[in-house]
Amino acid sequence: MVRMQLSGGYNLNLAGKPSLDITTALDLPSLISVKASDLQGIKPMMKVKEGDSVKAGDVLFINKLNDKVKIVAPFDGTIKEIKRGNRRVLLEVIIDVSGKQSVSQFKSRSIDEISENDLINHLLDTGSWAFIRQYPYNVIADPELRPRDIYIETLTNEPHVPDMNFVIKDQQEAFEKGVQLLKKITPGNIFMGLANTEVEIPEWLRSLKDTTPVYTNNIYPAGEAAVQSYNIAPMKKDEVIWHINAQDLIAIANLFDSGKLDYSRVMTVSGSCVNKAKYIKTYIGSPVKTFLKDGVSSGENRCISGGIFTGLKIEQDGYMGFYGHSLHVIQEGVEREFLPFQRPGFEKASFSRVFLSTFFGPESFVQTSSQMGEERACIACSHCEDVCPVDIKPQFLFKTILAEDYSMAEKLGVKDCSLCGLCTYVCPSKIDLDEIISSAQQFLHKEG
Amino acid sequence: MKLLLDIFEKSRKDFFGPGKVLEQFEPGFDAAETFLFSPVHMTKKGPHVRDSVDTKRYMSMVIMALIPALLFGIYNAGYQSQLATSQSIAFIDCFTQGLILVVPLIILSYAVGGTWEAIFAVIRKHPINEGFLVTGLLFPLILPPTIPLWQAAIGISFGVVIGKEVFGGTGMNVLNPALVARAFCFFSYPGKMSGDNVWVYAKDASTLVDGFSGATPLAVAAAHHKMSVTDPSVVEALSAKGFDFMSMFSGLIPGSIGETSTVAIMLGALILAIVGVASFRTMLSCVFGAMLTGLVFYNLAPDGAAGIYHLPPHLHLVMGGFAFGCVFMATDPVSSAATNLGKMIYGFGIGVLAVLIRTVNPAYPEGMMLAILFMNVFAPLIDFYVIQFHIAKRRRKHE
Repeated sequence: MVRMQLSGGYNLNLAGKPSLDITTALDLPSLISVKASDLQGIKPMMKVKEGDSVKAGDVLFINKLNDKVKIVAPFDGTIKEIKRGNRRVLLEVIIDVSGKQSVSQFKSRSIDEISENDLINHLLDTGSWAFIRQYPYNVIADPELRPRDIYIETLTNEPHVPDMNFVIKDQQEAFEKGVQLLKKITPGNIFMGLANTEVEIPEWLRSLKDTTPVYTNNIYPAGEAAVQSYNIAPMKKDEVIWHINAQDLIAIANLFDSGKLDYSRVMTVSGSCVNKAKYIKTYIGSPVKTFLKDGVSSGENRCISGGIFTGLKIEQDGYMGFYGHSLHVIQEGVEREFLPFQRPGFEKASFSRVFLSTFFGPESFVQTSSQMGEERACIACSHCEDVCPVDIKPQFLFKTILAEDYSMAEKLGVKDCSLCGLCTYVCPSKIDLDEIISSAQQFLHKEG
Repeated sequence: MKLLLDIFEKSRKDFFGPGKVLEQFEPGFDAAETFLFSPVHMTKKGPHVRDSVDTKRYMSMVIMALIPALLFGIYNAGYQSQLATSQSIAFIDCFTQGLILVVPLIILSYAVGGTWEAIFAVIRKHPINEGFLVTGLLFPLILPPTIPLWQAAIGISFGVVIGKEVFGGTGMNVLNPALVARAFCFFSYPGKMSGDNVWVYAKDASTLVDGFSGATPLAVAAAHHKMSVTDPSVVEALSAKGFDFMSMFSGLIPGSIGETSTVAIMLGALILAIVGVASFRTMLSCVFGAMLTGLVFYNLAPDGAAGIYHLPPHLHLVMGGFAFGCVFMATDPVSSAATNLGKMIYGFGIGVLAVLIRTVNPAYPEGMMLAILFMNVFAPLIDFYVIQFHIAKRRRKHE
């Protein structure tokens, strides 16, 4: 057992919180997307073309940098569209799965007897490898490396993403099997972040065999693997850690029993623009509109797959991402407020204390996609330093990166950054620190 | 409001947009528009929402905190003038006289400084920065009420152009622009910035009451010498001129416009501390540094030394520009050290240097301005060592 008292972090109370019950289970939609723009650290090479029919488990594309890493079709169907963006970067593969409800069939394997190599190969062949990601840089795990520790994401405290204490509370058996699988991959620890959220930590999770619980405070981003790693067991040079979402782990554990890789997940739909914020059970890569049957407010909306800080901007007629288990719908910040900074600000969300909302604020805040100001030079207010969960001084780090002094950036901790987005959120000068730090991480990842 | 917004949006389209006739004046147009309406910028990717605070709000907090000192300064400038020329010291008369003295300075400071800011914004194609709203108000408050307007105009020009714009504008400056402006006036026009005759306005010297001196408490303390045991102590000498602790704390004494009232400045400090805009670390360590240095001199000074050596340390805090500099100048985040530890070292250095200059240098009774400018220059060095310390800490973690 480890205790982690996080310094920094920030809980943003956003309006549109999902109510805690799963009453809606959606049918398999007719179109499913495999979103490549969500998959970090791979260079896709297509193995199918538009119009091909595929079986569940067939390879859609492989990683050109390491062809063992494959992304597979989740269901039987035909390739409807291969969407590409600027410079032909693969964005997503859309599969027409109408009328074909079968899920992927693989050999079932006994968890106890499988060897480490077999296990890795089985995960790679079934396409479940993509659920395992690696820090530094938060990329899809490199199968040639072995992690020092593995972190299971059992604590998710970004606003409105599914509460794991609630989602996995009845899934002890599958979770335990998942832990046994991970145990084969790492000689190190299997850490799980635990904190009481709206729901208490499931009792069985506290005393699970072969795991090390990390008790922490329920403040974003205490649940992030990189944040936990930096605070309790920092990586040494050349070491890596892997992390996996608890729901994904349960799906993989079930794969070994049944031979079927389950792509359904408990997700949330939330935000100030949805009529009914709730939990639903649906499939990875589902169309956004299947989430919005209860209706959304008219006007320009922003849809986000994943968390409000780290998620992906998607179109309202688009598809959910590969990792995003929540859909936020907020208003686009097109409305222009009269006398914006001269007001007392009873309803303005802020980390700082410059609005009266600090003292007389509502319980939750409505925020739009507005940047809430114009970009200015850094005024060294050090709000970013105050919220950073991994003790970086972002106000220096970003200047170092802009000066392209990457060795200094490494010393200042660019590799420890989990891109939680808080420094960018609080910046009064509206500097996109996240973007700058992420560009440096991509550079360092590429250059080694 | 819709109508006004339409006017703005239409004029942008017709005159100020890219390729239009008045394109080069877009910064000025932007400044006016974003003063009235929130800007249109939206987030492109995560984080999809942003904190409601922007630099405009941030700077307007400083202005709000300056209001007590400003109002008191206006009243006191009038009061000192009315008192010295034996006219009515009714509140309304003092305040009116104060307005006559101070308002032209403020208007001038904003107009001249703002013009420079706008010129640079147009030429260098950067937005007009709201940091100027603070500089433009700080500068008049640290001037004597009698300064000729043309000197103030040259001062603020120097402060904005050399103190800030040549470095790239707000956020890039090494020194506090308002203090650069004051330092320029101080060294260029010492006759109008120091001495005993500049702090109280009198239309004509003959109208001054008998026995009027016009000296500030610091000047009195610096000039005082206790040569024998029968001579009064420095505290007694100050009291004899009407400068006891309470009068200096409340601020009805001669001095620069905004600096005299410690109580009004403390009110500002309270506002800044509540909204978290200025660093309390800087303020507290600055006070600590000054008290410590004052204490050392107080205890170690030889008998024949000037009165300022024998000054009880707490009096340093209420005399001269210490309080104003400590709360509003030292805490300017851009020119101060940027790390939390660095801020403490930086503030401490200002406190120490201010009292050191006051005490040891007979040429300058006041040391706050020079102390802050000096530490402004040292702030990057302090940060450098704090960062080295931070890097070493990180490295140990990953070893």
